[in-house]
Amino acid sequence: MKSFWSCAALAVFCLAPWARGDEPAKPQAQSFEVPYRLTAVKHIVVRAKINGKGPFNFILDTGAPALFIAPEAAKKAGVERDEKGWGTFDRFEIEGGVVLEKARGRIEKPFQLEGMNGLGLGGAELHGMIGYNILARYRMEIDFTKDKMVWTPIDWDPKAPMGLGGNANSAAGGLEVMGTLLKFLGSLTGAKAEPDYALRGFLGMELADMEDGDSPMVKAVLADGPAGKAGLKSGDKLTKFQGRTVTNVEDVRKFADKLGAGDDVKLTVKRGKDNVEIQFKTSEGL
Amino acid sequence: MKRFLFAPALLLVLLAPAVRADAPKADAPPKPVVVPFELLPSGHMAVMVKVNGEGPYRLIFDTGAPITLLDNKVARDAGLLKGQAEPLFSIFGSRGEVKVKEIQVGDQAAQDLTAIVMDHPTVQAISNAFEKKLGGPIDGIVGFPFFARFKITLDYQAKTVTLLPNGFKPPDVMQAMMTAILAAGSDEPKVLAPAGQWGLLAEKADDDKDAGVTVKSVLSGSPADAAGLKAGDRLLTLGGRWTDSLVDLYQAAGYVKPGDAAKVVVKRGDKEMTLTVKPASGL
Repeated sequence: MKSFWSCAALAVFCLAPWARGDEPAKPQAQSFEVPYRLTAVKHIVVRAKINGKGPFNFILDTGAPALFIAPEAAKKAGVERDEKGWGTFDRFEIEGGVVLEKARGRIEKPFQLEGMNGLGLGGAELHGMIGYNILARYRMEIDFTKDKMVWTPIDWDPKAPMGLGGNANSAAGGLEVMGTLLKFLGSLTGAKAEPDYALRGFLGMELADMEDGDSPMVKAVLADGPAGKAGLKSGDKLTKFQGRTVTNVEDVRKFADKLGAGDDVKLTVKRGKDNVEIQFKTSEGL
Repeated sequence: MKRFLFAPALLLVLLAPAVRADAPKADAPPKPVVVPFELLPSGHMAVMVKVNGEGPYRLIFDTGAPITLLDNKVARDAGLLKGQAEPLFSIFGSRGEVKVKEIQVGDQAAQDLTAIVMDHPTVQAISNAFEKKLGGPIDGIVGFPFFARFKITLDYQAKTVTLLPNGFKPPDVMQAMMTAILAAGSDEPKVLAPAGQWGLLAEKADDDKDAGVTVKSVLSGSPADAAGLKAGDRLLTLGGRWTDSLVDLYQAAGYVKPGDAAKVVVKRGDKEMTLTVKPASGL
């Protein structure tokens, strides 16, 4: 029983309903490197701008027969839903340079997305799925050891996906209730579809690991950066960061990755034989 | 109320089995295996799959599925339910997570995976619609725990999926989900850290809805300076990723490791230009 809810939740995230018949659009010819990220539940998310608006977040889903776009996102892009639930997106641009003109998509929000957004599982609000009627126009290479996919247009017009007949929702067989339920659970945990981000503060120092396992060395200091203004010098060896011993650059990064802009930094460095303490505030920047 | 939810959720994390994927074998370099698929009239891809040597069964290959899903019939045939008592009550025939010794998609096998046993209503609906045409039912979904272990090449025109082992070890999705649910409820903002040091400050006004962010200043002697970035440049993409907000910019910079060359597209006046920045190992 322990895993019933989590299993069902994950099962809910699998297949989109099918689409009812339609005709697709034409891609161009050249390979594209399409950036993606994986969500908490390991969905492949790509970003797309529609008619210059967005970017919107889409799950790459061979289990979806077509492009699905949430009504709110379609509205932002100024696209109307026709009586059969489809819309035409004059310019559908996927991050990495893939551009589709007159792309067709279903304007509806599958219950899976409601659930994921409700639980904050997307890492950002999810606006839809990119399915068969778009994906079939590319040869796609997906490799999770790389941070980009490779999409190569193929000269092929995929046949419009066929419906199963009857009402698409009824074929979800009651699973759609899970979407609502998960959204409700999310509201209890205080989850948000769009997380709050803070930008790490800037210190302005370059570091290098030492081969003998010694403290990392300050390789260069930007004169106009916070560390430079506070008197950090290249050649200093960084022994402590925020009072904690550091033995390599990774340690420093780990502690520093909690800092926002304007936060206090305390460094202890070895300069020749002296231990020098340097304090400053991070600035904005990267 | 929060407590009530967190307690069972934490329990789940603790109970979730820590299944690790096998390390890739060090012998002969892996060869790509070409697996044909049937394109269903609904646009779904169906592949033939053996589970613990049983089958083949027809499953949907779904890049949008976080789990591999098998129906009760396959689970019984493949001996996945041994030792499990028949539940008194279960929704969609759900029998929870099971361990599978081997799943073979076409001629490409993977060992020691997890799958969820359930009679998924959407799978059944698709199966019912096409069973006659296909000459057999559809019994589940091939999902992330299988396909993540391969570089996959999808070609709808050739109707093939090419699978090449890539050494990627898929994390436990169930556990990742529970962790994420807890994290999503946290009030702590997530800090976005660039992977390297660039030496630039960017800004974007709230009412600025145009593409890109504006470079406010470039620190002299920094990697951004060396690459020729200038204050006033409109930074459009970094490393092939859109930079339409500061969050975008920091996320994009999170992908560029120190010393790697990243293409940065900026608009300076009316001219669009591509510069190459090598961020330093620093912060």
